[in-house]
Amino acid sequence: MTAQEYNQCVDHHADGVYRFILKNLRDEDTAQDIVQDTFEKMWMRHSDIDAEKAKSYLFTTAYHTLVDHTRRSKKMSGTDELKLKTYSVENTYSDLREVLDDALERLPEIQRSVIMLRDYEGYSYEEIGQITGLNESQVKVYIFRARMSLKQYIGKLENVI
Amino acid sequence: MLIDRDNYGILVIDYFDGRLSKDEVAELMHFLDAHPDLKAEIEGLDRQCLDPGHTCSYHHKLSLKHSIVNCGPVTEDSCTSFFFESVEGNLSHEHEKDLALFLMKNPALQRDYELMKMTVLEAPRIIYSGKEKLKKEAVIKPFTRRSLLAAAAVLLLIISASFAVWYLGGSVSGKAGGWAPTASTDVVIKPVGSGAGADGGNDERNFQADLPQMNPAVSQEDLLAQQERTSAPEPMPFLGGPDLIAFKEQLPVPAFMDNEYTFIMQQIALRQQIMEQDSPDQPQNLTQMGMNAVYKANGTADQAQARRKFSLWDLAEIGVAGYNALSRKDVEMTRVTNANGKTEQFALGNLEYRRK
Repeated sequence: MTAQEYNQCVDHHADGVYRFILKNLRDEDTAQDIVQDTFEKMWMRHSDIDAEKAKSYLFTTAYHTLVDHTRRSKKMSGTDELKLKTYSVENTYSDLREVLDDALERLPEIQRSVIMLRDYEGYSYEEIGQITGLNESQVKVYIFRARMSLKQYIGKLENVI
Repeated sequence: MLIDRDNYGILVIDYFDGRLSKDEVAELMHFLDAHPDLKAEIEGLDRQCLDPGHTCSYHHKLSLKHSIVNCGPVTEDSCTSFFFESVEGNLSHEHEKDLALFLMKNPALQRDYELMKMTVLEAPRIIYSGKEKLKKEAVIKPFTRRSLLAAAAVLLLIISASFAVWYLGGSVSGKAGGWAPTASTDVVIKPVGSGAGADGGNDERNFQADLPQMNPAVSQEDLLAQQERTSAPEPMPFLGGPDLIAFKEQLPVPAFMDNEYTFIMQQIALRQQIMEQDSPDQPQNLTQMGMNAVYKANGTADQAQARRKFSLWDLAEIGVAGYNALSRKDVEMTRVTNANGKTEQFALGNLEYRRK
């Protein structure tokens, strides 16, 4: 990949990578750091990377950096973030997107990642598997569970409303 | 069957498992009645059996199943999977029709399907503001100063060596015509600056004659006069034809040939003529030899045969190879040429250049 192709990658994929990280972490500063780190890693190896596979490389690197960051955060805080999340419906929502955002935040990390890669980026099961290190069946299972959880959350909300 | 204290345990287990006949049960009971200590031991054993009736269901069976896309009709049990596959876009046209019919017949499940469709996330428009900071200049990492110096040194060394080979080869050819061939096949070379003791029959060295500076008896004028004599060109034998063959027979070189310059010149001329005689296809001079050596080192011998043109790219390639060997690095030089053989693109490590 040439420098020009690398710069094109920045234009085309920086928003997507940033969105993927931001939606996972909900922390703008950390998300920006991870995006910068991801692109820096790609630049270090740009001569070895095929331009056509650059997007996959970016998301794979971003995902691994995200996982590392999450592990470090959990170790430092000493608490399991998931335990803090409750499934009670307390927030007020103006539209479905907000509901889904909230529901998405409550999903386990892996389910959240795969469903975002599927819906936001349009990746196939195989491509998601390559990014996350899972096989196709596992990816599909996680997406199924994520959809069921989201469906359940939306359904509960409708009942409350 | 004779029951005793050794085998009664097996019969007790068979009894609880219901595998004993009535006669055997009666016999066992009779034995236990006769041995109340054993009877007390096995009491309550029947209550230790595990209860398999406890229900423990796994709620994600559907997700473990493989794709149902090619499976049977839509039912109430499988409709959730069909909803999922439909949302994922995995259903065939026929299955979509089946699902629509199913939903018409079961309107209560329509809401479930709608909810499943609502789980598809819509990508929010989020802009990353630091794109410009991520971008890089087209001319990338330069070499470090040390690497650059090392590469330059290697290149200079190769160019100098090639030039020297070319120059020596050319000068020998030029001077050879001026040298008078000797009548004899014997090669006798007088060491430059030597007086007595330098002939073929006397190996004894006169160091004071060879090195007059060390002799206090030699005056400065004598020394200058001697230097003028030694700097004058010395006639060399021209080797060729029968002389050459005779010379080849005389190898190795006699010990008295201590004039290195003369010896080297003669060796070069000899090598050239041997090549011309032995193989006319071989390179005609040492310059060509050097070029071929470079082609071989670069692994471009075949291409070189085709073009027969030595360019600075060849020197650059061997220079990079030399640099890699010295620095133990793996800098790669790649070049893209057009149909006319003109270089269009050139890359050296991370350094890239493209013709405008």
